Amino acid sequence: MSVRDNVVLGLDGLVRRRATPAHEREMVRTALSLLGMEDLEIERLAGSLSLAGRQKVSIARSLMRPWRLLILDESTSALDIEDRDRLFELLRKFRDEGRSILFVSHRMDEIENIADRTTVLRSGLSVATLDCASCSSEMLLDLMSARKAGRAEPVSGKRNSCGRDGRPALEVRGFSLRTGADHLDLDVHPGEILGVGGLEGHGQEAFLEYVAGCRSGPSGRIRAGDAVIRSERDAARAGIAFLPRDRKTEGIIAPLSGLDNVTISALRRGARWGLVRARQRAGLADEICRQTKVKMASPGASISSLSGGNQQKVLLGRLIATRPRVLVLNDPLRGVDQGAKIDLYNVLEGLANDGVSILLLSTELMELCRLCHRVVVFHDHAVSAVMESEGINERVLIDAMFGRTSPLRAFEGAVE
Amino acid sequence: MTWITNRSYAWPVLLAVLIFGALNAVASPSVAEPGNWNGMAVGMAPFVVIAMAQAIPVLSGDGGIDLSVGPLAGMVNALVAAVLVPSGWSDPFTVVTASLALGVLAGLFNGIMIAVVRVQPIIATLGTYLAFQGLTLEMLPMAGGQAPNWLAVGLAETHWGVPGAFLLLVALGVLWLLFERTAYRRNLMAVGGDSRAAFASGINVAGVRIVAYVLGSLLACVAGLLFTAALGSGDPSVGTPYTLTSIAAVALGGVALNGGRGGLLGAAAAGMLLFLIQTLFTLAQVSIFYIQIMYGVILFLALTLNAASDRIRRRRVAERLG
Repeated sequence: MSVRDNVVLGLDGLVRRRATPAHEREMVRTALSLLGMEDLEIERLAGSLSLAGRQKVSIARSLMRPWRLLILDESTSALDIEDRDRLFELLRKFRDEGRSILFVSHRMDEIENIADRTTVLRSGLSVATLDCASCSSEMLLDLMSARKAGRAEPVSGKRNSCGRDGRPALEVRGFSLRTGADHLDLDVHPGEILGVGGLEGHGQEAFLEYVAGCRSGPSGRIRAGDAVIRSERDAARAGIAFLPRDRKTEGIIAPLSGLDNVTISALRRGARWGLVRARQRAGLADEICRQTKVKMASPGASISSLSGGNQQKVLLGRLIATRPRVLVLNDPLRGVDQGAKIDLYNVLEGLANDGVSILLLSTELMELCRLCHRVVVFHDHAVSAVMESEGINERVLIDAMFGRTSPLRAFEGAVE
Repeated sequence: MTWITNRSYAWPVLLAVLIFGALNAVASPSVAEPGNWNGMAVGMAPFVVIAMAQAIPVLSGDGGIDLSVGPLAGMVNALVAAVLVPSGWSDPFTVVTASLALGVLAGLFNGIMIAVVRVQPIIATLGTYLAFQGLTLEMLPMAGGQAPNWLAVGLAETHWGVPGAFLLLVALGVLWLLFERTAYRRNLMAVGGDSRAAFASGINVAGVRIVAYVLGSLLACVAGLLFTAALGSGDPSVGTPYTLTSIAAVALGGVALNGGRGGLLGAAAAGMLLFLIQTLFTLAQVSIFYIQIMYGVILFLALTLNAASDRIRRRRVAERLG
């Protein structure tokens, strides 16, 4: 649809237009010129605009109706400085007119720049609401990283000394997610747990998907042993097992039992002449469930009847059943209760001690600090830091996630 | 010319209509004689209208489809030939009002089942497909009955110097132009394109969907009246096959089957195209079975080309955004 259609969307009745075409064009031009897009051809297809252009079009849409509260959720993510400043100028004007704006952002400088008051949310809880006059972005970062909160840390913190000398289990060479980003060269060694961090949507998930062969096309090459990974089939053959992020839609197969879900990826184990043998399969499931400490009423019970933590253990078990050399885990500890979390930490550490390499994406900073040997942090679809986790803390990670890495180069030692 | 330059999705099918029209004229000189055009228009009209009837629900997205358009058209045929005419209610006003009322009811039922009860469109309309077939057979167990005189005559004769079927196609064209200017069309494309974004923009998504099925059903009833006129009688088996014709036309006409892209022009042109293909092969005395096979082949070809051009388009957009 055209830019004009996109901006006026929702203003009309079901069948009748509220404005004459001429008036409508006039309104659209006014709204767009507020955002510095007075030159835009309004009959152009909105899909042909740049990301920033589309974002401004959607902001213009929200300005079209009489409003008292405007909620902008990461609305500046694609804008450049000039556009952003113009938007902020506009928002201040609206504020001075007595209208309210709820501005969601992960950029500290924006918060400092525009906000009168700031609320920090962490893990679904409101942590603090502060007057911006009296707080600094340092304070906000502290609140976000919960350094002062002093929570229990369920990890032993003991890391194995993974052999860095032998042949790496996974080699990443010349990898970049977008043009212009620095290339990443990285070896992951047997028994190493590599943390992968970053704010939501900064490219770390794409990185995992490339490693697991689910995506193709970036610059760079990924090798595991002698195999070059180009597809998920290559990855599976090379012993790379991938745990997707969304347990419900990409993980469990809801209509099947726990037993089926554990063994589905490894049916060949214990099968004879292409036929699955029930006893061997049950034995395998039993062994895996013991290893991952799954609590199931019976192996035949539906997977949907299990708790989230147990489902996650089943999914991890599904990967383990394939005897992987590299585990690629996209936030495996999300939405898992404390007890199951500790079990899963132990399982992961056990696997690492047995020589499995683990790429662990986590949104919990504490996990990255305590569980991993090294942490790769992504910012803006590029690697912002690779850190030895010995000695790093949550604050350092947060800084890297926000792209403030300059004072931290000292920690970076592992870029081969 | 903006009406055509703005609708590039319909270019391939319009081109195909021209080609097949020319082929028809070559195959049979009588096709080229203006005196025979009205007869062709009478035969073509139900194809065109049923294709438009299908296009609107498909455009509404989220698996939108209306399988019941064929049986509904058939039910109008049975209603007119077996109920209204024998009871003496054969005046234009009663016949048209009753048919359109049936369309509104059928469309409301489908639309509410889909947009409010949230039954999947293909299943909801399969249900009404079967029910309408049953109702048709209840009214008219076997071919028979008679179409009202004015209906058959009205299309075949000339009014004000213009053949009736032409007048009807012109009227449809005018209605289409009006439709393209309504806010409803924009809402429909928005809902079909991305129903979440449409919802977030304040569009009444359920309302748009319900109206889509009502409009589709209304057009299906018009198609039913049209082939009743062409047939001159009632036949419980003519309506149902139109469902498949309409889906083929929508696909050929460049309407995206997942909604939001395409339009009525392409579907209408594709309806014409299917009719022209049929007459061409009939002229060439090809068996009806081969015509079916040709339909299949053409559909595959068209969809493959569509998918290919779609991929190219998407790659271009991706490249530009870098």
